[in-house]
Amino acid sequence: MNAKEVQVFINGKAYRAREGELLIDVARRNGIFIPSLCYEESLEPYGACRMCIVEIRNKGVKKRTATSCTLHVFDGLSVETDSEEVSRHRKVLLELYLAQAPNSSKLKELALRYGVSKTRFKQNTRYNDPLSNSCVLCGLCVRVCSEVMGAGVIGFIGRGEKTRINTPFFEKSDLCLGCKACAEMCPTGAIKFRDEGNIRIANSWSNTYVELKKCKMCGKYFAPSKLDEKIDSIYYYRDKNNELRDLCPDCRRKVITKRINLITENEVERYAK
Amino acid sequence: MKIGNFEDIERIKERGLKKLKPDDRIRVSVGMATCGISVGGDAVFDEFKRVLRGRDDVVLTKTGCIGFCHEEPLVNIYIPKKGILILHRVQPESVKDIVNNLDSVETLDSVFCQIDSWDHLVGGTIEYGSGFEGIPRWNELDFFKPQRKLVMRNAGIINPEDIDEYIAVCGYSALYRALESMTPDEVIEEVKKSGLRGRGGAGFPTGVKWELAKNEQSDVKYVICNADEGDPGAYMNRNEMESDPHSVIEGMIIGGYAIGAHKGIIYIRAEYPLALYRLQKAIDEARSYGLLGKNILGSGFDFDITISKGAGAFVCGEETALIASIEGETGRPRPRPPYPAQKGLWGKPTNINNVETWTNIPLIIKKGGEWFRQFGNEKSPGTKVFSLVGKVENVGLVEVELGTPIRTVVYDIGGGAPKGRKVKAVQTGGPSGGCVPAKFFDLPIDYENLTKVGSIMGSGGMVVMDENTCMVDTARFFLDFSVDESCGKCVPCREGLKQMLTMLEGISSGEGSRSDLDTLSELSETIKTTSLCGLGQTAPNPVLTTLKYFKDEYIEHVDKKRCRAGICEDLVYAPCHNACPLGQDAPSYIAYIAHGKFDKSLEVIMRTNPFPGILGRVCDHPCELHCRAGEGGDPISIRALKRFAADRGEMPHIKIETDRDKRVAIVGSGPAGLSAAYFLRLKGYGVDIFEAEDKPGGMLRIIPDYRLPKDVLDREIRRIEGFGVNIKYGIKVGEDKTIHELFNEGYDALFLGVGFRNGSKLNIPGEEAESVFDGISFLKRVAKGKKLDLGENIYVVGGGNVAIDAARTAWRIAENANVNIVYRRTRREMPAIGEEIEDALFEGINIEFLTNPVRIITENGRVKAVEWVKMKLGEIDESGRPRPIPIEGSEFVTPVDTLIVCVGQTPDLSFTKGAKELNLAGNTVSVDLDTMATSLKGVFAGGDIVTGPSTVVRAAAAGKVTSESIDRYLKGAEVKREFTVEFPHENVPLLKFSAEELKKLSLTGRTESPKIPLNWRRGSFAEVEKTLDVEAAISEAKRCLRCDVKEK
Repeated sequence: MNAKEVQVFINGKAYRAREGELLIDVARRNGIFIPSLCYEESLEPYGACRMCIVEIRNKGVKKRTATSCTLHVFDGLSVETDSEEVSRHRKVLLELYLAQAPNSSKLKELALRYGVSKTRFKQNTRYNDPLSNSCVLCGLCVRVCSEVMGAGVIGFIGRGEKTRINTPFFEKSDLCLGCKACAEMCPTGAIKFRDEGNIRIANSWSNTYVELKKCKMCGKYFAPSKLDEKIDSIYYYRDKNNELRDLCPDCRRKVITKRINLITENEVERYAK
Repeated sequence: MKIGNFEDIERIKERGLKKLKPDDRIRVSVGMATCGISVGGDAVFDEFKRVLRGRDDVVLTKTGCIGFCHEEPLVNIYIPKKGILILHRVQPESVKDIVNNLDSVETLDSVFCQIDSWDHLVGGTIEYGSGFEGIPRWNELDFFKPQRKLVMRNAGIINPEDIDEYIAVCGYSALYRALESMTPDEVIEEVKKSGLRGRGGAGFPTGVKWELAKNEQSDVKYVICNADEGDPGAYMNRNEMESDPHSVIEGMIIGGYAIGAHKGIIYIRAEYPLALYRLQKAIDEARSYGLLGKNILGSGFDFDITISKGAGAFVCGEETALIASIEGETGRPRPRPPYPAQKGLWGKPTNINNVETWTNIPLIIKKGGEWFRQFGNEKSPGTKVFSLVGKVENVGLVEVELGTPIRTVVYDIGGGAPKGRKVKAVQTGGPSGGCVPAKFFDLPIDYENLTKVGSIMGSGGMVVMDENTCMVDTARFFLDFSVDESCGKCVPCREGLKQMLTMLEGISSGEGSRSDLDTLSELSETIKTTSLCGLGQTAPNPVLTTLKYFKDEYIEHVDKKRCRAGICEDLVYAPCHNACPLGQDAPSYIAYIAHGKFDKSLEVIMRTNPFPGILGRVCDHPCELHCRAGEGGDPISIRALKRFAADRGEMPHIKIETDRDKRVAIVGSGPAGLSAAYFLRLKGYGVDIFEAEDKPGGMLRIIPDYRLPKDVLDREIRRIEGFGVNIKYGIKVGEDKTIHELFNEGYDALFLGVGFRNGSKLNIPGEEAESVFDGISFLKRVAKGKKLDLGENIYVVGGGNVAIDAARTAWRIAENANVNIVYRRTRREMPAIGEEIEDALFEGINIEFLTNPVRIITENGRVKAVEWVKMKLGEIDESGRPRPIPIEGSEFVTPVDTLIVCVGQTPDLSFTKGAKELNLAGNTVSVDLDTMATSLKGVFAGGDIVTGPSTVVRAAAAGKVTSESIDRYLKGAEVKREFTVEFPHENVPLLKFSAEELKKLSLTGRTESPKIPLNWRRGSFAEVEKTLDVEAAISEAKRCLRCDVKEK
């Protein structure tokens, strides 16, 4: 990238950045903490959680707040990440989150960081919620599933306060790869998977399940078959016996190491002659 | 046929004009926009079609809506040379009659107004003819007079389904001008010059917006018409599309030309089928004329329009959500920037404008930006169409210049609230807007001013609210809508609004707390600041503005568990019961009358009413103002029914609790004192009333006999005395005995029920003359039977009940005099009871409004004449009424023999002598309004002496409330009043009606008490109103909707 280099001021200190970069990236790169629930570098900015608001304090411009995940930096941009107003709104937002997802311990931790330990609002107590009353609808799971994995298994259902995330019609999906990227991404730990024998069950996604592949060497189930089919590796091409594909990571490592070692032994012998 | 050149247009124009204004044929056009159709316009059209079959001298067409929804269905009859006659409220049954009388159509009952000429603006003024004598012209009607029709320049006149008629009024000539002689930059320059701002609500300058899109480099660009109108109560865009679809299309083509777009999309919700149909038809017709498609009018410019149907999500009015919706995605807003002008539909530069913005474009191009600027004000030029709905007499679409005061729209055009109720606020901008209270009604309507008071312009919804609107409920309603329509993407809007709604629901069911109010405003601020799109950023406005301007109502809900408007269901037993200061169980006593059980009815009344015979005659009946049967119909005659029960029912046995050894002294035997005495006596206390005069009743005794006969008054007071209440006459507390002396005499508590017995003065020269009276002493003298010579010209100054009483009394005494009431404001502001004013007018008393006395001219110590000055209404003061301002140089003199001044009253405060500890507020006693306890221990006060001159029922209610406080006090408990929601449990069974009876009942109007004829009234004080007869009472009682019966 040969974008223009600019100077931005975060909490009064100057930092260098590329023009048009997102403020949240600049801040994080420089070790400045800005909380967020819905931002992820590898995904398109979404701007839904509103936690990453900062206050723009450029002279001559009316003081206003903006989300740092959608704020493209320009030369001379000056922001406060924890001004009085920002903190006040963040606290209210955290209270709303605590009411929406009362069961998420990750969220409680974040809230405590801002001194919010309880909420004034009516807590959500949905019975039998597949996301165990921990989802804040940040959409990371939905976006990673479609934008990165290309699977598009889950999506938003309904709108407004009735919005849910799940598979279409709450039915088992046969598109799921079982990659658990959704669970990995989830900022509140709402998404639950369970491995049982040769299947992996996505409890949160209408009990969608995928088959797991068994390691030919040790017999351990190690990865979803469908996901495995999508994975390619340079080792697979070099693998003349075509055996690496069917091995779990542990066994694979052993085999590769062994092969390398074998070669080395031969070479040693050759050099020894 | 494709239009290739100017001559083609001229030819079509000629043809169109023949259709619009045939030379030799009558043209009947029926108002067939959705509003007309919904009240039967289509049936009227079909009936015309049937009746007119085979007549070739009459053409039948459809037209759109001229805006006066209240009078629909409207039918325009064009008679060559004579002009257009508008008939209103036409029913299919009357069609035959109309067709048979087409020659003399001006004699029909349904004639509304005439149009002799109409300025179509783009097409200039068209003279339709002038031949209807004595029929008001359309713009002479109050509804139309302050309006300025720019956007609605053709609405309700032309046939929207015929492109020829649009061309007849020079439609597409602006397009011709733009393509023929203007460059895109010149077009944009013209729009910029006009100062036109986005009519969707945010008010962004249209020209600037176009320029942004034009300056983007791209091979493909789009223009979009945002027709996703979805505010509750707003339907301007719908009508604009239904009544004049081509003006939208023409605007869009011009916009496309200016920006460099070749594709236009109209995003409209599928809920508007008629608008959809007419737009599609218009597009097809325009295309067949070559006004859309390739090489438009031979200019080489290509442009076409498609329609994109939305499913009706409110958030899709937000431009990024709208784009997402067109692209086939869920209508969720996207972060901005990039703005649509940079990266919009399918990632291409896109310009989005509201329907009304587009319809303004042809006008600006044809007449010029400078011309457009003459309307509206500096920052907001042009006009705006508002849909005026809610609690207003004239519902309809009104188009006014920006900068017009709200008052003009609500009162002059809208005619104020129905049934003489007071307008409380107006809600602009739908769920994103706020409530503007009546005290701001002088505010000129424009973008900045509305924002200043916490509301927004919005797309033009204007919901009027009156006393029967609960502001908490209003906020709840709009929030409920926003919660429903929130897309759910960002947390403040999705979760925050839901939490606000939960809290508001709590408040409106009496479970809220004061801390909820603080939380509400804090949460609102966060939602406003942090929401992703406009929906969330504005959704708290209804709550914020009502919290700001109507906080007292919120506090009442929270602290007193009371909804004064009678709307919040969990707090309201029935609206009438809720409105009654005494808390009379009206639904039950009315139901008993309907059942024929008059004794039971009186029994229910007596539980909370100390003197039903009096209140049945003189009560100002707030219950009827709030009666639900009065919404869209007539309220039940509740007062008349109470009187019926009081006169007909047998007095029930009323149980007095065992005598207690505590005694209460009451000062004054007016309604407050009598009521307190009655309720305290029932609780077993010994009660003595101290009355300064020699007869009981206080202010009740000066109510003239024709309203309240003295024998009724005496009977009711005697009954109270019968329970063991002693009245001691001729003792003036403060002078004969001080408050402390009363305590020393052994009384345990004291109630001050003193009235405002002295009339106020005008403080103008000559007031000391002999024949100048104040209203109170005049009435007092008459009540005592004194003979008075009033002369011939009697003038009463004032607008309250005393003024009316004085005038009607004078009218009775002086049989040959002419009696006039002079009031400085207008009828709308007059505080007297409506029926009393009606009666006064009926009796021939003349009321001069907007007039005030300046000086009294005397001769030999008597009044000879009075000099008056005319007034005009000025700005609205804190009371919500316009302040009267004298018009300089308008003074005039009339001969006057007697002047009765009824401009307010003052109390005699001598009772406070020797009781310095008693805190006063001005000339009233200051009390804790919940308990009526004064600053002096054991002393309570209620009625006029606390509130200033008020009504009998309020005084009686004060007495009742105080009796409870005194009871608590004497029992040694805390005087503080606990507020709970308590409903009566009478549960009178519902009457069963057959379908036929129900239908009949629904058509039955209100039965008023019978009145004696006019010629029996003069010279006599015979009671004017009579008791209802049994049959009338039962049938009136049957009309009651029984709001007390709740669905389980």
